[in-house]
Amino acid sequence: MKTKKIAFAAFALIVILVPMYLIFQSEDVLTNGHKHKLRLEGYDPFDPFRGKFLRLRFENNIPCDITLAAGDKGYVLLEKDSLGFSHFSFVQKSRPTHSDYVEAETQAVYGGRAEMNFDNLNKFFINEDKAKVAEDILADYTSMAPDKIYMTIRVLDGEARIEDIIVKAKTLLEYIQSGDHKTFKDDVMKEEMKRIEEAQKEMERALEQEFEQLDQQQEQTIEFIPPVEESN
Amino acid sequence: MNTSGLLNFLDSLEQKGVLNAEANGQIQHFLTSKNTSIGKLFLTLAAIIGSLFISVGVFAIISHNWDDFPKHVRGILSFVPSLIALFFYYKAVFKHSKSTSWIEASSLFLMLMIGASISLVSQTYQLDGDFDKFITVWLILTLPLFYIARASGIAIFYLILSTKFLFPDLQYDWFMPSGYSLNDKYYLFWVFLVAFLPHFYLSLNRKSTQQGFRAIYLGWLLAIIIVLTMPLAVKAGYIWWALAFVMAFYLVGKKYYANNISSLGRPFQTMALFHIFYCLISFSSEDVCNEMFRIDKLRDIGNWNKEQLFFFFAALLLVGTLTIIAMIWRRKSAVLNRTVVYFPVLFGLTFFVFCLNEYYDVDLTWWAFLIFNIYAIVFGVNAMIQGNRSGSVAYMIYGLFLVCFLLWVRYFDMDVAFWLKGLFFMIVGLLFFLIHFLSKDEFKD
Repeated sequence: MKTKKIAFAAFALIVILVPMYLIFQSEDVLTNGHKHKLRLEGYDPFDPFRGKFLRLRFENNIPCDITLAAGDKGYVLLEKDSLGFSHFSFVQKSRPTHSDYVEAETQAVYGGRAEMNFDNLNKFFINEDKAKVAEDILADYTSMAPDKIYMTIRVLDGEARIEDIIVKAKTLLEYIQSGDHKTFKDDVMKEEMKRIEEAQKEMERALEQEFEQLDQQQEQTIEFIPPVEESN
Repeated sequence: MNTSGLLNFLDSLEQKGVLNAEANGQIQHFLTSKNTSIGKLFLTLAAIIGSLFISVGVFAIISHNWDDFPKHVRGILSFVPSLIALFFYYKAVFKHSKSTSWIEASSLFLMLMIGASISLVSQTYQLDGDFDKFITVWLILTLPLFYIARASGIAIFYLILSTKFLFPDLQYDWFMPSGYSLNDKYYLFWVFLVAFLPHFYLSLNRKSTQQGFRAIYLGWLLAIIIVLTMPLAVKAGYIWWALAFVMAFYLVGKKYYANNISSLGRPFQTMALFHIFYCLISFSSEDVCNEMFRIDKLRDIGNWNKEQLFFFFAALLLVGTLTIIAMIWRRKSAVLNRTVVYFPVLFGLTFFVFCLNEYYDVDLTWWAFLIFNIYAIVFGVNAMIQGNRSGSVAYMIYGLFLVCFLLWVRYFDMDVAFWLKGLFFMIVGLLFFLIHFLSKDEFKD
């Protein structure tokens, strides 16, 4: 009986330690990892164990080391552009010295570019009641206002975790709660109309200037027309 | 007639003096004990199904995704399913250790709740993760359940989940070339299968040749999983592996299940006989025989990798060892069927004939083909005789069906004149009538 009790205690400890390890590892990456913003698009499937999620897609056709082959483990470097967005810039076989990289498995290599399989960056699990709305938001924003939606991730020593999805400077869940998404299309239409009107005015102004310049040129040309000599 | 009606009938027989009191007591004890064991099985199944439904319910509630709670609260909540299941498991192991229902239901609940806890953490921290790793961790955590309280109901989930490592990697693409490769983590299936075997061994009544429901259930499960997964789980020498498993099934069946009443109660022998049937019908065809035993394929053996070589020679060693064990056992006591014991020898002989054919440039393959066909007929006739002796109609039908099927297949693929085929089949038909007339008195037609 004593052996059984010890076996049970050891087993129970392991059962508790596994989720605990996952939590601590994730918290470490989310707290100490470097922050990056990635542009994305998404849709809404279903996982039988963990519920609804948004499948996140991002640029995944990355220049790579020529020795890299399908099935290899690769270190994908992250690089920030002038607007503050990050992108996967290069896949190499050796571990970088800095921390801005993600470990991933190579799916396919062609023409010096690799398609990588990233763990933990493809699914965003979401409440079942909000999944449809979130999917619509992602679809609308990625097609109509791609600069206003992105996901933030944290990376630490090759491990990556999704921090959140940001829409118009709010987290996705806050954005849904605010109800702004209901007027999104109208807002976009208004903004678009405003932009078209401004562009139209700008064009009219430019045309007016053009006409003025043409008039001036015509006047000058008339002045310089040499008098026609009448022949006998 | 239900049991109570039967008991009343027995009492009336005793009152009329047809049955003595002792015999009546023994029959009544037999009937009521059988009733009790079926009742126990029903209770256990009800508990297992209840536990399964509750677990599925927990998974569904988790799937809602309670993202209104802060992350740390959800992190703590993810331990709740495992802790509750551990509590019930503790109660089962230390307070109700004699109750099969408690042990089986709580083990299944704990197994599924371990998965639920991991799922909850991965949902909270957006861990899309590697599904293979998830299954590996889950199965490793399930293994102790087989040994702490000897639960067997979870074996079906455990073994089915372990086949995940045999699923081929399919890369499908609408425009780019599609790909297909065998799962390179297949070895994990072997690890989990081997880790499960001691539990199966411990579940057997090792001092008897008659087994109860648990051993029969585990036997069927193991035999079916092995037969279905072998084509993907072995990397070379499948034919030798198939033979090795036929021998292993037969030996295990004869050692532990020999006195179980029906074919359903003898999972290993039944599976071995099905496998033998399949092998005999397939390899007795000239085309299949030529394709399977082509020695020229072996010329490529220098290019095989270590893994393939290991599988090929391990299977040869295994089948050799098991055949020798079977022969020694048969020499000591004649409980083993000669035609099954010498089944691998038939394959060895065919292999040898094909070797001669390849290296000495003589056409002997038709010999191998002929030997296979004769063996199949002998096997079928032997099954009929053995079935007759032991009073097993199922075994007799098996033998009859094997012979008929063989002849039917040969009718279509044998390259001889139709008049000769016709005569041959008529003779065989007359032989069956002869068997019928000879057996008529015995079976009282």
